[in-house]
Amino acid sequence: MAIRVLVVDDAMFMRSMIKDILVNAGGRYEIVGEASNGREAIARFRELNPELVTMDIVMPQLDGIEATREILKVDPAAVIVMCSAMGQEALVVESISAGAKDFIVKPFTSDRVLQVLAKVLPGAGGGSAAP
Amino acid sequence: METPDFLDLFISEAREHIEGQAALLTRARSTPLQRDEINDLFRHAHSIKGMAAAMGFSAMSSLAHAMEDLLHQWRDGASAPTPASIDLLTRANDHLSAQVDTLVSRQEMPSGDEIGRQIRLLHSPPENPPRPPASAAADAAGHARGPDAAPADASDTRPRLLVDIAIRQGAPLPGARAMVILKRLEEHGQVLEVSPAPQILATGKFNGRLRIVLASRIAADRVASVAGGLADVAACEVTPAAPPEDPAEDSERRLAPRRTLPDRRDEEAGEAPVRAETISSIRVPTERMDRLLDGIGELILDRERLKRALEADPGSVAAEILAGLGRTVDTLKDDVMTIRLLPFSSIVPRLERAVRELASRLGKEVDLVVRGTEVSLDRSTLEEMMDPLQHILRNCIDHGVEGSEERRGAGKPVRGRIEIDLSRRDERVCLAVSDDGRGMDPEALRRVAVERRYLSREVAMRLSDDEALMLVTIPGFSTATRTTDISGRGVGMDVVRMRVQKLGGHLIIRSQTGSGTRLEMDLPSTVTVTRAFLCRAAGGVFAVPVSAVQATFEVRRDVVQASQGERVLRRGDDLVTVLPLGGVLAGDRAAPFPDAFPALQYQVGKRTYALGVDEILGEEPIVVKPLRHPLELLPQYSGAAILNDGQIALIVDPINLTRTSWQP
Repeated sequence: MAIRVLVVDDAMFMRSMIKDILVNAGGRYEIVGEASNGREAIARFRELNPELVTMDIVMPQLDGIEATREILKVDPAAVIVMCSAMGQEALVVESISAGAKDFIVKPFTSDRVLQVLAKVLPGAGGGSAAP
Repeated sequence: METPDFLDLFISEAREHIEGQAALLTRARSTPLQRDEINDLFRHAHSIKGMAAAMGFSAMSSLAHAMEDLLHQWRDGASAPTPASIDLLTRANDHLSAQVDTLVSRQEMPSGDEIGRQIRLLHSPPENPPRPPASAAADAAGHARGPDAAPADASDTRPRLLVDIAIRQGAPLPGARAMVILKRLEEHGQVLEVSPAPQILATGKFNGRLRIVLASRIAADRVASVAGGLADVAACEVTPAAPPEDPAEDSERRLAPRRTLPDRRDEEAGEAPVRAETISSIRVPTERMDRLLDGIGELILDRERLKRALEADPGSVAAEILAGLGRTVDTLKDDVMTIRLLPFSSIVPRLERAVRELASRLGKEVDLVVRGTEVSLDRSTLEEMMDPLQHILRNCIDHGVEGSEERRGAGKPVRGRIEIDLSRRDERVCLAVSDDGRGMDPEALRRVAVERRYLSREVAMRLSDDEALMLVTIPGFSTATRTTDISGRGVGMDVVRMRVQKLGGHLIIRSQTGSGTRLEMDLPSTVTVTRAFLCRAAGGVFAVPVSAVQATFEVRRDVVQASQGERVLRRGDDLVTVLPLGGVLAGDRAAPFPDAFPALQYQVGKRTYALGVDEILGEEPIVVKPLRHPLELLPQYSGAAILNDGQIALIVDPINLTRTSWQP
């Protein structure tokens, strides 16, 4: 069963790249939706209930960090991976603080992205247990 | 990640962002930037930076990064726009545009380091993040509580584990990675201490080694596998730690990483208006448009064939259906051709940029005025005209417009003026570029042509002034007293002429010594389907576009007279020069005419011509297909068409045909 992914980035170009990587991962991932800003991301998340969200940080209308917060309110178990550019460490740190599970950095390489995603989903190396 | 598809997509999106910035920066020269405009500028720079980085174009992404940092400061209010900084950003944006151009022309991308450096000099990058006041309390060893640590509970009897983690060398954003690790560990216990402190981790400036004290009931090896399984963790060691330290020594040091963007929530609370962003347009690669258009063209041809095949009785049902089909196809064709049309205004920013750059490099002061920007052209025509227009502008600025001294001496305004004028006439567009510079001297051109042995003196003398001006389109021709490294030799006018011809257009040069030069290009506004006369000549079928023909008539050889090496006849008041199509194409202008033959009348400048053919087969719509290299270099043909029977007819351009037939 393919993992259902929502791709969020305000640049169509970036969305295409990410989709390309995921679609060529041997059927492991299925792109179920896209959004180009934080508000759309929240709406689509509610509609589609994806298992994984890739989230750009700087976007118009509502940025990725806020969108992450809102989505986690809707579903605290949501798995969100931030997509960041170099030089945005503080924003990524804040995203993680807000509840994003991991991050990938541009420029993306297929291997890197797939590696990070493989480890971020529950059941992939280190599930949670009662502290 | 560099498949051709992505490159096209990258180029088109990058250009959109660059245009967006250009528009905002141009506005900024006259009216102060509003907050949302600064935000937009920031986002454009940010997007360009990200996309360029994704494609590995570090020269672009580092320049965009420098711009983004400055714009970030403007957003935060740490600094404000000034005319100097706006100017610098404009130059930087122009440079980004030039970098994108090199992707299209497949040249090496120039670095933006110099401009980037200048931008960085305008500001020092902000501390990332600014230290919160509480950090003064952080002890020298940099130990601190975990980011969400509650005060240590002395009654928390859970075992302490010492978690030592080494983040992979070269991992991106190690601080963020550390954060992910901490968060994951928090799922399994409580992080009591972390070294280095979170605010140091947030900067990413540490050696990649983390030491965490975790209170947890989970077995050490389980914790080790959780942490070790995370991305970018090179090594992880978990050992039982010493019993808890004296709680009295711990102080409340909640040091959450600081956000460097202004808090959006405050903005929203102030009810900033939210722009509804609906998708009202889509981007389509030009190739797909071409295929769509080909399909329409085929549809039109099929309709004609059907009409013929059915030979339908005009009153019959079939004829009615066919007529309806015809209307639908025509409407479809018009719609698709309209989609391909772009107003000239879409390339004006690039032209303005080119003028700015050239003027600055050549030390001239020049203004550009563009009129008729709403006139639309097929998008590939516009794209193909970019190079010729840039050549022309280069010439105007380099050779045409004089330096300020000379201009003052000539009583002209100090700033040179280049005007681009567009107007539409039927299916054609007239694009004229004129400057108010020193103009060109036909006599000087004749002299150079003779000196360089392009023409004999006799022929040169016979050239009219208009014809002499066209001498500059000979490859390698240049009357410049000095060649600059920018314009080089021949200043590319031959390329301009060829490109205009390739597009099915014509170039005319007008000039007045001392006053300026005007280049007029007459171009087809749409490509693809056009109506043409199909003619037989020299054993083949040729198409002559109806729009080029004024009239068709029968010629009897006995009314044709010889006059000054030409064959002419009178039609009413006009003297018409008659040329044999087959003969001219075969290089024999003086080929004999048959006793009677049909001719197509057209105009070249002030002279009237008639093209004699063996037979006019009919007049019908044809789908214009461009000629591929090297055939497109032939000026007498403006394309080819596939006829109903599958034959190929070359489309003749009467004006260029006539020009090429003039003996040198």
